Amino acid sequence: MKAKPLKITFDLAFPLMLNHRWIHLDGIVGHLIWHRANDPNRFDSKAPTPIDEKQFKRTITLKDGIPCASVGVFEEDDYRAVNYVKRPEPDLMSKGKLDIASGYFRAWRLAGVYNPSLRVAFYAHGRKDLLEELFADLTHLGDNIRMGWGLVKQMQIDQIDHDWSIVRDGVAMRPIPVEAAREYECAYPLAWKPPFWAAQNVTMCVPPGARVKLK
Amino acid sequence: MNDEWRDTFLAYARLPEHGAKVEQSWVEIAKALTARCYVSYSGGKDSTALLHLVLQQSPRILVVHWDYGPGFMPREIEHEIVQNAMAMGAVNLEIYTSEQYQAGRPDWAVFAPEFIGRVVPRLKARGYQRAFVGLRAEESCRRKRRIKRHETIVMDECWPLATWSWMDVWAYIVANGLPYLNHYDKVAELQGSYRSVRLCTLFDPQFAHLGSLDNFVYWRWRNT
Repeated sequence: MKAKPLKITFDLAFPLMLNHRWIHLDGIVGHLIWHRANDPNRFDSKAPTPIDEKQFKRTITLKDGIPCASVGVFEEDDYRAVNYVKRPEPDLMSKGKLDIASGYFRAWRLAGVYNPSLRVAFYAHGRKDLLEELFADLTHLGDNIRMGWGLVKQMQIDQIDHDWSIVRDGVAMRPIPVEAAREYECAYPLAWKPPFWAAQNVTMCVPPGARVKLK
Repeated sequence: MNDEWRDTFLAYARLPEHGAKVEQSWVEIAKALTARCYVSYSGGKDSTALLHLVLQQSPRILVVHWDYGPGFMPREIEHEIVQNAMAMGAVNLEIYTSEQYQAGRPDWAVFAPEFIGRVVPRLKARGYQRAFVGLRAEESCRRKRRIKRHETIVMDECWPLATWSWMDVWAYIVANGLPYLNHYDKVAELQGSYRSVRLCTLFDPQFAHLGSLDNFVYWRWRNT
């Protein structure tokens, strides 16, 4: 099967929580490839573990090195925050003083941003069969999935006529390094390829949503 | 700030309970001003209300501000902080910072030794005897305890907002048309309330336990 322009739609049973401004499709694909090849309980959290580059390139097309995978497009551009409060339960413990300001029993407030939409779409250029096979492992999207956020109900991959994975109607659909752009509205230091948390992947990029003309 | 919140704060500002707290703070400030004082101004909502209260009684008072450096406080926000102080009439503003921020040192390793260990003793040596600080008991148990025991560090401190609630602070800011940081509106819009919106150094691990929306709200500066 040849690589084609695709639209990947996820229907969610519960909204998706974000720990960054966007959710990146190539980040999800990279994570799934990594997850299959490694033990998630034993890895170096400080440096990115190399993934099977060949498998990644087979799944997602690279255009001048940029993965043809967009950020998530939600049904509604509406974002809200929620706070979880984690407190120790002193009633269940032996009597005595308990330090809740630091250490094991420290109280935490966990803040997260979510989009209430139950449908998120991604655009890609890649192999539909390989993506479908890979997404079979995917149960949740986004952050705080242990609490049920981003539970995937169903996923659908459709072939489309236009490739909107990098630019759509003159607007960036993902972080694009400025070296690849001829004209752009603005640029910020952003990660442009997975893993998006790795500092070595940060460079000046045209952010998603900004007007851009590629070289 | 949307009209709903603005009207809420304006209505709260008309309550006699709020008026009594402002009156009490006014009296405390007048008493404290018998000594040589300065105001600690972070740029947050509490110090904004505090600065306005103090400036009304002492327009030329020294306003001391600590700049956390571009890594923890992006320049756009820092400029807004300074502009807000000047818009409220601060004419005697001194801004301190440390070169250690440029070396990438964490804030907890810089602020205490540099500000409390270096700047405050120098102010004391210049003859300043008391600092106005926008500390509130409602903020945390630790602060409540500190206020109760009147625990101060290096310099004597006066906390005119000690008994104020978050509603009192916002009511005062809105009723007096004070400039405040855009940060509060951004985060309140996400959270749906101004209740737990606070300003602290961005992307700072020492405040991770308070919950942070910085990655989402300030993504532009995440990697600077």
